[in-house]
Amino acid sequence: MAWWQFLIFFFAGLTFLMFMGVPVAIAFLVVNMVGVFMLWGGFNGFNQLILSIDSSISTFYLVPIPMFILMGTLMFYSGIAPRMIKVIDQWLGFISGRLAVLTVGAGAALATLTGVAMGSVAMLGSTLTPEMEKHGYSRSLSIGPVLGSGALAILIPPSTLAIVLASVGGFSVAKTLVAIVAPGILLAIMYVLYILIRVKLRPHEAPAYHVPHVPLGAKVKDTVLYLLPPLSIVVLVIAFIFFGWATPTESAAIGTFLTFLLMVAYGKANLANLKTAVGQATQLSVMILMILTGSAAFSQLLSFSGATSAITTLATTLPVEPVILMLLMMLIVIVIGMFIEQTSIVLVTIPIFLPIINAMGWDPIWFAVIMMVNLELATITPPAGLSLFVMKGVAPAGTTMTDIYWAALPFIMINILLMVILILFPPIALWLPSFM
Amino acid sequence: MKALGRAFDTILNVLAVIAGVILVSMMLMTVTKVGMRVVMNHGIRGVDQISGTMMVYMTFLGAAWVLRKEAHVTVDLIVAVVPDKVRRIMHVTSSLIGAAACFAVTWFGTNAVLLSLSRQVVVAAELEIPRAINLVVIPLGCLLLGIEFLRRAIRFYRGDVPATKPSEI
Amino acid sequence: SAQETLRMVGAWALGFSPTGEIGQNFMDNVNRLGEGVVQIEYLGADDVLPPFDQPEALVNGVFDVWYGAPNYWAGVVPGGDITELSPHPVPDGGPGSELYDFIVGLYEARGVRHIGHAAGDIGVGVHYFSTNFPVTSIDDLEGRQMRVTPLTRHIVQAAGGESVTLPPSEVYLAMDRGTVDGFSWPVADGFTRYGWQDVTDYMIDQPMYRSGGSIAMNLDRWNGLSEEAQDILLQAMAETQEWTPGWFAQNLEEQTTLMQEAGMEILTLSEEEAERWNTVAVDSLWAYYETIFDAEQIAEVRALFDAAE
Ligand code: NA
Ligand code: NA
Repeated sequence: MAWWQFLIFFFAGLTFLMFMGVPVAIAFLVVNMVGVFMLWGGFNGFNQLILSIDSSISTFYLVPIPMFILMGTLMFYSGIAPRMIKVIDQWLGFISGRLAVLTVGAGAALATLTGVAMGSVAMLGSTLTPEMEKHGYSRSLSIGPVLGSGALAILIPPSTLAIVLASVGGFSVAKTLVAIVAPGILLAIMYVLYILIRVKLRPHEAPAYHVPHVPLGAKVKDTVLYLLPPLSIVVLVIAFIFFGWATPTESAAIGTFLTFLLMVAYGKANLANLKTAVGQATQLSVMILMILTGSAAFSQLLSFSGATSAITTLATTLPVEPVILMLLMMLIVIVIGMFIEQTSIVLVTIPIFLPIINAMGWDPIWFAVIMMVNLELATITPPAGLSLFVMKGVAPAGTTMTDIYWAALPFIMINILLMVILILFPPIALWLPSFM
Repeated sequence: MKALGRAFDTILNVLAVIAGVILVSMMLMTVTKVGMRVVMNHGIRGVDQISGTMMVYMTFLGAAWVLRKEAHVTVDLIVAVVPDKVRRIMHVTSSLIGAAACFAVTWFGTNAVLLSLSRQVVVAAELEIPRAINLVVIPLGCLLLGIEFLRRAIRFYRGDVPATKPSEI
Repeated sequence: SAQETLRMVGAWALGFSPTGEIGQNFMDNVNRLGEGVVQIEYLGADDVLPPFDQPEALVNGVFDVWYGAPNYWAGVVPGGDITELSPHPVPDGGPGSELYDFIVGLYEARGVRHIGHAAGDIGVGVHYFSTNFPVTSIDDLEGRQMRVTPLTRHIVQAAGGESVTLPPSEVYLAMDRGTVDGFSWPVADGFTRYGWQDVTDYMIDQPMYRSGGSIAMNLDRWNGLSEEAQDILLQAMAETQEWTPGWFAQNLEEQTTLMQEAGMEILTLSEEEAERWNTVAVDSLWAYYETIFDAEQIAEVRALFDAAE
């Protein structure tokens, strides 16, 4: 069998199984089993497949994934999230489009608490979207910023997806986590600028309303009590990694432990909250790790079949500028991202991209950052972005899927713009990790 | 049959609790290690390696429970838009595919464990632990997951379940 | 009979690692000597299978020939890397020697055919520690965080240091940030290629063990080969073992020069301290092998080693 036949078999099989509704993890497993049978010496190879399932996840590099997830659920069940939103709300003055701006600010703050998009979207969509509708905001403006903020959750550390990407790609986990900080903040700023310009041009989309005055003392007190502590935990985790005081795994565990202490300090560490937080974190972790059990075998089989090296040869001999190659790769990710979720995208694309990145001599961290921005896009691109469905679930009655698609569009464009900026100006991604 | 189902659910719940305990222990173990390194200038040997093993246990002990909660990642792009009758067929078929794949892993995984034991393979890392200890939870977890897939197929066949939406996160 | 084609996978990509060149050299030798009889086809390295899973994959018949570090076998063929302690110029004595047959026997019991262990001359191209703290004695390792490989963890533990396992990709950061105070590496194997000379102050010029690379085959595949093909493989191995010392000497020289040019200081221990260091290195590793082999086997290995002197 020629490499391209294998490639077609791999991807056609995977697509068919996924669209059949087979859980993604099992779809990978089935394709791997057939691949192993054909490439690794029939049934003998199955023993190797079992070993590769173990190897894929029995590594402490992946431990930050469940740690960051647990940190996020502990934060949510500490009641920290709504209080943070309130604090940011108090500080925002009479700016136009303030609720939409607040959504982005809250989204960025929430992003420091959690590494998964859906949590942010559910929380902001169920609190701020109705609030915006109440104040006469256009439907599009009351939904779009929420979707954008969900994407921020993945880009601003802690980010489980960054760990997945670094680990599958063999990039430094520490550098990847540090490198996404600046683009994450930049993206939030771009969202805010966009909202301000849009509201300036179309004031009817966000009618001004009276904001009750909050005394400065109260604002400062709330900030010190409810905004600074959770933020400092995240800053501390990043500092630990940045200065090398601890490995990413250790930093994540310490951050999770500190979050637990914070929960105790807020008087929220009761059994019911802990049970829910740990239960949710376990469920989410199992869900992601289960997909990763197929990661090693899938990429190794692609390599074994000769497909990986053939594609690399093809890519490197194409008579085009390297930047075109980069754009092409990103386009592929955007298209795949319309249909499947992010962990799977990493699994199917990185084994093929990696040799090309090496052959091109690109800085892998630069690539990883651009890839991260692209991957977060997948949560909000129609038709199958997960955040879109979550939004539909929490949006006010009468919101259609089409409303949500249109609301997402500008934020999709902003993400693509950020990718272009990162491709043109690599230092934005590489400046911070260059000090490591 | 009902009682058997309840007993199975209980097993899944107990294993889910164990998976949760593993998650918390991983965190506490690592924090303790760092704490000891700071205080006594000496960590605990093997914590990272044991964490790796715990990742496998957490995943496979929790896998069937997560399926019971319909929380494994699925792409329901097509499933969501087809007529009810087709959706039911797709759900039943995909569950059966899942069951078959899991039982195959159970079979080959058991062989892998026995082979690993007979070859006395150890993990050559900080602690020399038999590799079979890591591996054994894979066939176990897949057996339970396979059974849960069969139950899921039956649930969908009978139409016991509202046929779409996995639980939101 | 028809020409046999053996499929080879290695721990490191060809052309990347100087130690990996042992695999390349062996393959070239076989393909030259074995025309019409036996040929080797290279499938890939860590992109094809994770290095630490490769030994078991070889046993399972996923591929036929393997190259890598002898201590990758620690989990599958316990003590299969004991030639790290060998005082013979060719660590396993080379095909035809008594020591070679002993090692072949060890591997055969686990479904593997040992083809050969190739290394530099004794003390050349071996494992060294590099640190960010000055070292005059083995005692200086006490309480230090040292990044190790499975092989060098014993000496760190025996010296009262803390052994830390990290992949090569994380060593730079760990050294730069002080997460670890030092690490072990077979210096000839492209030390400066990783940029470590920029974040490391000292290399302790105290060679440990033999390092180098080894070649192994799936046992059933070996047994299924014609005697002619087997002889060609052994001949190719003997040539590789002869070629390796010069290769490692050249690389070690090149690397230490680059390290010094980058400002690293090469520390030489006093004769007395070098002796103590060597004793801890050797004794701690023997102590480990004593947990694997019974007294009789240990005596046998020691006798085979002594035959060298
Ligand atoms: Na985040
Ligand atoms: Na999408």
